Amino acid sequence: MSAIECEDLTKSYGKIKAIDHLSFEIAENKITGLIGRNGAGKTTLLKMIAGYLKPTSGKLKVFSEKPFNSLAVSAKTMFVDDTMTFPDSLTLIDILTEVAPFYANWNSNLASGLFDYYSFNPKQPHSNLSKGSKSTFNSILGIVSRCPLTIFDEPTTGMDSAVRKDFYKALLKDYLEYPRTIILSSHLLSELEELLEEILLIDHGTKRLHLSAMELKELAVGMRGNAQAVLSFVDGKEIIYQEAFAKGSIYIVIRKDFVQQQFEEIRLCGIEVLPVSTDDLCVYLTAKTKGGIEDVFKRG
Amino acid sequence: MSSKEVNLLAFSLQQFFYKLKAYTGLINRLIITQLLALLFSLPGGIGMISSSNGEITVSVRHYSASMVIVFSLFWIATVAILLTTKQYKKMDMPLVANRLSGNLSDVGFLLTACVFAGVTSSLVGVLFRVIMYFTFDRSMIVFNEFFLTPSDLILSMVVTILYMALISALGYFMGMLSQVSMAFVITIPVVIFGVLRVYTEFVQSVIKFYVGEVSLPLFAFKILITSIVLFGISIVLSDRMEVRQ
Repeated sequence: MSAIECEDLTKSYGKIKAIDHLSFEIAENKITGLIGRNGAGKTTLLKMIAGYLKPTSGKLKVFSEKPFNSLAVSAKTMFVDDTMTFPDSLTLIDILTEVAPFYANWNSNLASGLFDYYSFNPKQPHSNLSKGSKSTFNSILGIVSRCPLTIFDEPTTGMDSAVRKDFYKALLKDYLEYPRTIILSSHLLSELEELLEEILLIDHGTKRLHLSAMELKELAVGMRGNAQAVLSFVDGKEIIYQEAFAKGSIYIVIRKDFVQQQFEEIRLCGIEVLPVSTDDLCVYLTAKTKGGIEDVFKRG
Repeated sequence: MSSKEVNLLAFSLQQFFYKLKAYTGLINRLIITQLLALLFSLPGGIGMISSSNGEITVSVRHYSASMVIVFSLFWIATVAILLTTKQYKKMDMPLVANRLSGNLSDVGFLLTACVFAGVTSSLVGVLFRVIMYFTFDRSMIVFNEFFLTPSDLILSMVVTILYMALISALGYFMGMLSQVSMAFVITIPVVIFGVLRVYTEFVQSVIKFYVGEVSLPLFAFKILITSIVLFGISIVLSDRMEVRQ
């Protein structure tokens, strides 16, 4: 059964379409990464899934129910981002005890364990926390609520690298112990790679890719070498990314299956065949121009 | 369907208890407001009549704790409007909530606040009398309505609570209108001011409808129906709204 079904989903703000005829399905009990550039529509999509925003058109079902304004979906969903607001009368420790009764699977032991580990001051109000601490605290809520659908929208904003790594570890450990559907949106794909099972790449509100993390890793290959030689191999095929170097040298990223049979031949021509990191690949796939920012400087 | 309804009530109630704890800051403001009102009413009284025939001058100062109630009414109005703002609605988001449960728990909180404010502001009236009794020259006090009978005290509490409920429903409704469209923020005061000036007879009949009612059950009935209607419209208005940031 799929946790989220989304068909032809559109969300427009006036004339601008934040989400544009998007269709996908997310299976239950998987960790999915929602990847996209700034303004790709990640947050809009996640807020529709969490039931905060109403889709303009199309079908969206979370656990077979329309999420907007639904109490049943809210009971099964936890949405974590850095704008979560709590009353100032509640201290951090109050928040943990007061929010707990709302969620059926809340793990208070883990909550106090993580709370102590990050050495929060129990008497502090939430609004006084620094950006990174706020994200850390919110991520605790996301993990310990153990909701069937847990959504993290840019959970690592402001966290330092040590805390980020701890967060990934904690999330993975608790997920293994208590599997549930998790969606993470983030810019830092390179850090998340180990964690994610599936990757949904969106760009300008449309789906670019929806693959398992393994498939994405194997999707493309980079070739670097003499421009003429490289181009002769990729002639007529769709180039994902192209970057020119000095002295007629060129770097090209292309789908692996296009050139799989020719690897030996390519290597013999003195062309380097390199793996492409998923992080770079996602950037290339959602780039507005093929040449990257270098093009801007060349024009001048 | 029935299981869902139970859910709604259970979660609304859960949210109500959360809000009771979470909004204690608002209650603190009430206490400050009431103390301020008390301070303002004590020194000079609220009215003074003075007459003289050349040989004897009689001056009468009129003291009343009604300013405490008026201030408390202002307080409940601001609280009601505050609860409809984005900042407060956003606090529902980390909880299990939808629009309806959020509104129901808001109404629950407001009515609790009304009871609290109604009881305390009436009691401040008693405190006011006690302070006067011990600090003023007792021979100069005209003890007309000075000693409150318990039944009068309870009556004053009930009536104050009912007025609070009406004002809170009105505040919540106006707050919700301003959330629907910013245009209402400007038009509401304009309309209120305009109606007060132009349709004075209509306004007077409306005031008479509530204030002029002498039968307590009938008064309570009028207030309750009006409040339920206002809260009801607010809930319907907010139900289709998105949670924006």
